[in-house]
Amino acid sequence: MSDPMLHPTDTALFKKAWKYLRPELPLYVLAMLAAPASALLVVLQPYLLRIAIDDYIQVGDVAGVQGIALGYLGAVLVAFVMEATYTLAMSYGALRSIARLRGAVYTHTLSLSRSFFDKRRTGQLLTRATSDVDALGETLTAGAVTIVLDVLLVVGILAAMLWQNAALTFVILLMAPVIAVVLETIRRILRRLYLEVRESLSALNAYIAERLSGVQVVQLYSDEERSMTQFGERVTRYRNATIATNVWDATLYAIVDGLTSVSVALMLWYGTGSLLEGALSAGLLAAFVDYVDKLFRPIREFSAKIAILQRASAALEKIFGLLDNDDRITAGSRSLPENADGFSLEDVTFAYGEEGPTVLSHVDIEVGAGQVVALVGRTGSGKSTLAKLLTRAYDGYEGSLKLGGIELSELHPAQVRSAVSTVEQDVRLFPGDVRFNLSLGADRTDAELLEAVRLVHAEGVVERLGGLDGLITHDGANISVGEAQLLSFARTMAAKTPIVLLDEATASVDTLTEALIQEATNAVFAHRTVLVIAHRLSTIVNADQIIVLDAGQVIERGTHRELLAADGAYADLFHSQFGEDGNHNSPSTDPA
Amino acid sequence: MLAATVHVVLRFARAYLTPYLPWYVGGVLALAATNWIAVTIPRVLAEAIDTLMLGDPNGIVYGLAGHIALLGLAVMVTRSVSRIAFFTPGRLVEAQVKTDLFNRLLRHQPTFYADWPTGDLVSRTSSDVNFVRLLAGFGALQVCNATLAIALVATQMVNIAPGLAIWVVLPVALGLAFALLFIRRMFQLVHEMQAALAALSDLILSSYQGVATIQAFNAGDAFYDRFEKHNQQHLRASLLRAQMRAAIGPVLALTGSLNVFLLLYLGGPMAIRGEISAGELIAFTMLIAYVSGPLRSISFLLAIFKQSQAAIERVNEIMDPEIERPDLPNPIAASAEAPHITVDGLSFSYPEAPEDQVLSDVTVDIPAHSTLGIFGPTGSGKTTLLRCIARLYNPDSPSVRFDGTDVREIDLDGLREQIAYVPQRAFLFSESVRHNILLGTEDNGRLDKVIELAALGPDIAALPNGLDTEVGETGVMLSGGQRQRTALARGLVRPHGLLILDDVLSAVDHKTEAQLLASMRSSAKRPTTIIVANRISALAHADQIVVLEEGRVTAIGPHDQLIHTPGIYRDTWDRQREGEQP
Repeated sequence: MSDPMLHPTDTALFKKAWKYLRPELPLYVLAMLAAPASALLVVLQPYLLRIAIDDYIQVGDVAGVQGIALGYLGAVLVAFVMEATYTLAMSYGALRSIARLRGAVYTHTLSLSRSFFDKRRTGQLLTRATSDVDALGETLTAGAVTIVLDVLLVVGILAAMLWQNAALTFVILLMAPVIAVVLETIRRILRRLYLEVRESLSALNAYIAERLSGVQVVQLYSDEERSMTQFGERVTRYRNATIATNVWDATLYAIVDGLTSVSVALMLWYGTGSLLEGALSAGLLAAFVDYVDKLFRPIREFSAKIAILQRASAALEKIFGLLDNDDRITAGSRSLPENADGFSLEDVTFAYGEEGPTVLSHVDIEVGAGQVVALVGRTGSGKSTLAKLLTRAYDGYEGSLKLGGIELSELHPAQVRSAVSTVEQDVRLFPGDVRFNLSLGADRTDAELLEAVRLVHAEGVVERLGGLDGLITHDGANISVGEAQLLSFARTMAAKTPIVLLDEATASVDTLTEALIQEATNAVFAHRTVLVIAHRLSTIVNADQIIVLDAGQVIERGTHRELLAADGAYADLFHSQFGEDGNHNSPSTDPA
Repeated sequence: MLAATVHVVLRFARAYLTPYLPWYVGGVLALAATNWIAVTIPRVLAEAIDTLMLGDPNGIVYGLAGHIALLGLAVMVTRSVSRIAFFTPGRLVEAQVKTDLFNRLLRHQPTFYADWPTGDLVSRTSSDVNFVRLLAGFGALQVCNATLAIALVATQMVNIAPGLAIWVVLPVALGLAFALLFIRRMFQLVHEMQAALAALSDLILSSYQGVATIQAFNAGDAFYDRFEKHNQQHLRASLLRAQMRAAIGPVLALTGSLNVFLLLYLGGPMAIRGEISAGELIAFTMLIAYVSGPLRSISFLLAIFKQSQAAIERVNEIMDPEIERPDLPNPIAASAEAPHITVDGLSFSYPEAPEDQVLSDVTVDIPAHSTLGIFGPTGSGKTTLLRCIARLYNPDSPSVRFDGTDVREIDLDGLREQIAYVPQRAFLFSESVRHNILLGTEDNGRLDKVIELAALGPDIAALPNGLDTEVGETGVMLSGGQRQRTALARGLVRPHGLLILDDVLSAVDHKTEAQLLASMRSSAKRPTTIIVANRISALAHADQIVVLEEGRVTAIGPHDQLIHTPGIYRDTWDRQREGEQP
């Protein structure tokens, strides 16, 4: 899946990048001042060679030639300082700029809405903040550095050549059309190929990342062979693209390399007449041979540089495609009244994305402060979606969704989230210690955290991990699914928000622990507004209100008693769960 | 230090580069020709200039110019052949190493994966393999090129003027010695940068994966602080490395310029004294210019070698460990029938925490075609018992037997084909629903049936493209329950003798659960079945139920017996029935 990409010109891209480069402007200015000095020396060197040969060696002036040599030495030392200054200033500026850009990419990505993440692979988003940002750094340090120098050099050398002998310079320039045609042709081919290399590599890496994340499934279902075949297709595509790139790259390099010698031959052939007539000296010829070599060198390495520049411009395009993406939750400016702890949905309809099927359809729910409301329904009926809307994970609902009497879109998402916390179905723990996982950086004392742990009966888990300082390894591999769920529950309890959403909060926890948690949390929840989503109906019989969802619609509501008495979908669900022999239900009782 | 590098690099070269020997031989020949031409041209030019000085009465310079032009055309061929001949095997080796790594990774077992974050493994298959490719392609080319260029240029210089040649070589040697001084520190810094970058990547990946939680808890700032810590570490190492580069690069350039200074200072007077001709002096400058490229590349080469040493070592950390639990030389073929499984005194602890005994002396007999329920509190070892039976982890003793055979002696692939294990966490690939269920097995008309069994029909009907809907990364297009039921269908679709459901039925509603269990019971070819569940209704029909507490079997028997025996099973049963008498 590729990001929706604009195609701004490279200059427009670099203009955007400028925002991150500007703070290091003094460094870049310093670099730009130092650069011409080192280029000047390169231009000067063949000239000095010519003077040495024509004015001193030919006339036998030993002191003169040594004087020239010492003058040259002086210039070399100045150039050395200049080049070091240039390199250092440029890399310092570039590295600081990209660290800043990396931070911007990271914070921006974290601020985007869930629908943004749903459409993308995290592996690819990771690339934005790592290798794409690094590609820009590479351009600034390696690419831009040499490109600026190269341009200065080519211009300087051509100027020096024209000044010393225009006719001989034009002979060399005869090669220019040939070089231009070769460069342009191969550049076009390479541009296409580099794109293919990048795309095939990113597909390959994404494939590897996904298969390795699910390697247990691959092994359990003996899917190794098919995986190897799929991998093989991707790796072959990448390999073929890279080999083709190398062939053209080598061809370009070799052609320019050979043309250098052809130019020298051309000069020699043309120069012979002039030299004999005395219009051209041996020193000048030597200087020109040197100039030609220096002129062709940057051109020879041109293809490597287009690769760098192209990578950078592709990377920038992706980075700014991301930074320009504003798929964020609308942030309103109204503030939430103190103790806002009731919420209401009025005619709420919602679909994931524009083409997605409708997940919630004309839902009306009113939850008063301190109420416990339960959502019931089969999987995929829209229960979790409703909870996600309440925490502002998604925007774009129709109808009205109010918290403390204020429309959600008129509040800042952060405000909503400091009033509503949730135990999500997909438990997520982070590499780090237990303390961080429970507080997620919020200012909470150890006592508060331990209190939350005690409330959800997770003391055993925390103790086994080594207390609050205990480490959770990558992917929470050192704890079971049920244990992770307990920690996630504790995290929500520690947040102490007036509204709590429990989305299958204890689905993987055993019933007796669940009962203990329920007892312990009853006291806490007495003063809070709670929305419970549960499969195990035993956990919700005491709810103030039970709402039955089916295919996104509310089909029943009432208390447990009322719903049992109504003998509808809820009663059917309930009996099937607690019937003496779990399979007494019949298809005719399907809720309609 | 260098010896270690050479050892590692050579070991790798023997394993991977040998098949491409013809490519390299061709490349070296082409390189030799290229370099020979490159050092010949200055000689021809020197001759031409010296001839011109003498007036060229016979016009032989035109011939010499033609000679140079021809050599230039020849270089186009030899240069491109040499580069292609070196770079192509580099790419082929890259693909080969990637393939071998991926193949190895698919065969490594859970004990291996417990130690390695996925992000780290992915970076080994990409950025580390990149260095390997650099070594096999660019590195090999530069080594041969530098060797040939330096040798041929030196020979040519000595041919022209031995006295001058020695002086010209001196600054080069000094420059290289200077670069070598820095190489170790440079290598350390590269290591630091890579480590900081790996930590940074891991943090970024885990925060993107957990973005829902981060946003829900307004934890963005806290995560940014963690991020910035690693970002600054990386920046510090990068800046230090940049300082070194800013020193080494210009110093090497300086040595190149010092050559020219010495040439003028010493060579100028020699030319005046007639010890060398003006043409030869010019040839010298051309030779110096030619060899300066390969000379500068030497410092770069050393860096490549050190980095590829590190990369090869990192690759070997994946390639070298034995695949855990290799099959015995003569594994016993797995039976195609539903197995009779006996677990006899099984104790187990995970290799990463040997002091933490997860299972203690578990004994249970599971007759063929019967259903075993496993029940127990959170963290009691239920999943671990399943893993030992399915041989995701190897028991230490012959305590798990299939039809009397120690499970460790059975051919692993055959065994896996017999087992349909549906894990607690459903993992879906970003493929279509159809492919996620089939995972490479043939449809055989069972697909529709299992979709019905897993009650997926209405869910699939609601998807935009039905069965062919792509489910997105880890199945984000589906709800939690839908994902688990898709995973359930995946288990049911393939023919199996042993079905293992690890708390999967919690994802289906009770009606579906009842249908599914009934259908499994009535199936003509009933597999041996093991079900882990918290919900008693999912276990009630099992032939027997094992109650696990802290890794020990505390009760075993059929439902009717257990609900009349004091214990957690009865307590849970009572609790779960409570709702019925509100």
